[in-house]
Amino acid sequence: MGTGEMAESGNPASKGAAELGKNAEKSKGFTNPAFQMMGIRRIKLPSRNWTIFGCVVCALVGGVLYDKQKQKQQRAKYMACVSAGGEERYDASRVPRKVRIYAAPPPNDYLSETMKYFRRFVKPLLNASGIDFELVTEDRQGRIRSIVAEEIRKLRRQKLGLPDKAPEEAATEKSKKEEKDREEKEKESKKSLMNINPSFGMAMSGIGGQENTNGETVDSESEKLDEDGHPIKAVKDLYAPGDVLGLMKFLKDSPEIKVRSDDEIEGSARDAGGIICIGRGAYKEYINGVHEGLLGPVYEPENVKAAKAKVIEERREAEKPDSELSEKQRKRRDKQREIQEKEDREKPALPYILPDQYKESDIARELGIGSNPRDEKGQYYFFLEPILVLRLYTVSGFTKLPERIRRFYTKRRQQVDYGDRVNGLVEKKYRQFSTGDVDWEAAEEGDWPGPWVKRGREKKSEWCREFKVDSRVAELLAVYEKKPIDLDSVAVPAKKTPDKWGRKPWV
Amino acid sequence: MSFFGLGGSSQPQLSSEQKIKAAENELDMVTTMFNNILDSCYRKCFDKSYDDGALSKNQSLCVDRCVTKYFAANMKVGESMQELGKSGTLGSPGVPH
Repeated sequence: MGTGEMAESGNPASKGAAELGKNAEKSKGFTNPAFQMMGIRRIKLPSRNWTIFGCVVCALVGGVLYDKQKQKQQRAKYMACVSAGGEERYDASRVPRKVRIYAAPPPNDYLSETMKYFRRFVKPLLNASGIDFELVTEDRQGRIRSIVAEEIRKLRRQKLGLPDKAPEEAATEKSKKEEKDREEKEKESKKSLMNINPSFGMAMSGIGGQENTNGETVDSESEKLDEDGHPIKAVKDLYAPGDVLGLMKFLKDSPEIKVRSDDEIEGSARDAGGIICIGRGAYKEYINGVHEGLLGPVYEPENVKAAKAKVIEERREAEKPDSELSEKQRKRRDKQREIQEKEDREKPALPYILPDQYKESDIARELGIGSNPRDEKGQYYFFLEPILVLRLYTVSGFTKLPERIRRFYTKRRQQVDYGDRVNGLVEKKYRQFSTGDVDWEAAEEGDWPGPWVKRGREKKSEWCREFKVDSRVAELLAVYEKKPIDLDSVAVPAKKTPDKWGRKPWV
Repeated sequence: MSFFGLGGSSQPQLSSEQKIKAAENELDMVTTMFNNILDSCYRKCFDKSYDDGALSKNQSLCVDRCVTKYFAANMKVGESMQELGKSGTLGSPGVPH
């Protein structure tokens, strides 16, 4: 019985094989009755077109994955190379070196593009090397310039012992004071929170360009009383760190805790802190801001005031006169004006001085840059710190598509450029600013879209007009140099794995 | 004159009680915030293998930034809550959301 069945079942199979042999010449492929019963018709090599399609897709996807993997490895290597500083034992009464970062979006693009570069290529290295940073971003051209300039002007006013607002402005401010009382109280509470990092207050209050010239003079601050008639003070004025730690009540004769920044104890301003400009535009604005702060007037000059007033006047003239409006329309118009005013306040301030006037103006002497270049808190002037410029590799536009694709697939090379430069900053490899540094990363301007540049020229935008550096200011500046790391000689650091109790290490 | 035992001479006493209550609330709030900061920053910044008694530079920097960020975020949330409270979209019990 069994053999009969075998023969029977064997017969069709051999028959099928014979058919297959015939078929093979017609259509390439392989099949088997068992496969056929499972619903798999025929296994064959893909056709020519499918092969091409598959190769292209695999190449494209593979290219991306390879690039990503390389980036990951390189990042790990860079972090390992700079991590010596971060693992050092550290006293609680010290504050690490702090770097200022100015980030501007690429033309015709969003700030998130710049932030991507920052997060991928800069931040991991700074974090690994134990360097603190403060980020100033820009959403409108001129913001970085106005923030930098205002900060320098503030330093100058402090040195001169002048109030933050011009006297006549302060007077008008006082009449508005009642309605602003609530707002100022909020500011006060913000101020009391700002005592953690010395310069963090600037970033928290100063982003609004004009806003950081808040009109609080020294005497108006002491006037502020709470409802019971006690003066309101910031927490930092009331308590020292030792008062808050309960332990210190018992250890009475322990030394006083004095928090000092590492930047303060450095021998010169060149060794302290540092400045990173991400993008050529940010670099231009930063340099312009330093010029404006050092060479420009301390208070808003008349021509800027007049220009501001003119804009408002023109806007008023475009509106209908009061007599033609009904009550309701007038209210609506007032509301619109309020919104406009708020927008104006958020706009970056107009430059107090233009590049043509640099030569006529005198550099700020009150700062005492030659003798003791420190502010009242003992920090070095930030503009004396060396500058690092990082190039943005973003390109936009249809005609530049091939270049864009090439850059997309070779991001690892951009990372090397970034890494080597940031390593120079970590290792403090700096030199004096030279005239050639005006063209630092000027190649980036070749990536800027033509129509955008044209429009910028017409509007006399800061990014597109001629970039001038005054020799007196250039003397004060310094720049960081590249310090390349030979990545091939560095082993990829081992991944941290959970220990035998399954606890994950902190990354 | 007193309505339901309130008002009149008992008024100032009540207000000082209220003050104490407010102070207690504030202390509660500060303590909660402190504990939250401690908890989240500890979890974020410290190596759980405890291989070193002293702080490293990275750790102390991390704590610094963590606390600053916590305060900044707290302030932002507080501000927007105030705005909401002012505009009346928050905390009016009769109005369904």
